[in-house]
Amino acid sequence: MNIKRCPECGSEAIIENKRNISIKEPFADEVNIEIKQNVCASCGSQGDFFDQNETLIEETIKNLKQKSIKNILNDFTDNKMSMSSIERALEMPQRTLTKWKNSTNYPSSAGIALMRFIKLFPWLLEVAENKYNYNEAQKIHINTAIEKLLLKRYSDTEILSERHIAHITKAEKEIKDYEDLKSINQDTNSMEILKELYRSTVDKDKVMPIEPVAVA
Amino acid sequence: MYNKKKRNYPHYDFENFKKACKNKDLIYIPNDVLADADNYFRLRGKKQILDFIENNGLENLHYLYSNEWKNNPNKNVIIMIDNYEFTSWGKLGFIAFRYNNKRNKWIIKSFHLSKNMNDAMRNVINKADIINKLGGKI
Repeated sequence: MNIKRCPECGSEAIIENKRNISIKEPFADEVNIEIKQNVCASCGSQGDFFDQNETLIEETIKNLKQKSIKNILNDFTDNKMSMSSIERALEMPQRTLTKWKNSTNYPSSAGIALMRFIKLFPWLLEVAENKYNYNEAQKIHINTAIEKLLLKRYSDTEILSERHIAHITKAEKEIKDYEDLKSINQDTNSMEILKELYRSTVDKDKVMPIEPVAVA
Repeated sequence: MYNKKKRNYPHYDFENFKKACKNKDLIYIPNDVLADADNYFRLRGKKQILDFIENNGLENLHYLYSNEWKNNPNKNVIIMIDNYEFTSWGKLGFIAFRYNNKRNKWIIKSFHLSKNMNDAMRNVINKADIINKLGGKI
């Protein structure tokens, strides 16, 4: 008969109990599962002495990843991002995303990572659409950053008045004009461009003071 | 495999440990170590940790020191633990392991960020006054 022993000290004084652990995946829910735990009464080591939980944990992570992909793809659909367009931009075989969504196929780890990046940075699709051209990619990146900076500036005001929206539009036009004047090339330091753009568009002297908006 | 005499050198051959990582039955990882590996390195479960070690994931590995296993119930036998530092994508990690020759098992005792890294980062943060610049919070 195979005697169960502690892998650390070899003692037979093993106590088995159960405990709950939570497993979390980005863009998916948190799941609680019950696992078996062994405790050695001699050396105090705590763990899965006989690899009883590995399969359960792996299976749970796999299901959560599947759910995370479903959630991301549903979010794309809700935001009117067509799956066939994404597949085309990323040069993926058509219906790949649908198969992932319907659990017909399981995405690879690389596929899951790609979907998560697209969810966080949707402008990466525009980069792909522009054939991964370095200069275009930089322009897209900087434009997105500027838009974020402008929105952040107004984030304290819960309701954007027409005046604010007009100002954002004006600032965006200024960025576009600026870009037309100064074309970005590989030799230019992108951080410097970003700083200059930010200064020229959201400089205090240029920006109209924000007035509180009266809520009706 | 076990060298009792050379105290300035690792007590175990790291290559033997790495080879053992091919067979998960030869390795035991306690719960707290599994949790640290997930928390600090996003390595989930025994399989991912062993695959990482086996495929040379522990970059710039260097031996630090060896210390005695404190929880050893048999105080007549001295069992040593080898402690190493490694890097992985800019993180300075710490791994400790030992071998149980009676059970023919390697035991990973620690797998987390190195304290040296934390000190180095804290010094840089203090020097640059980043915390105050971020309004007292990180």
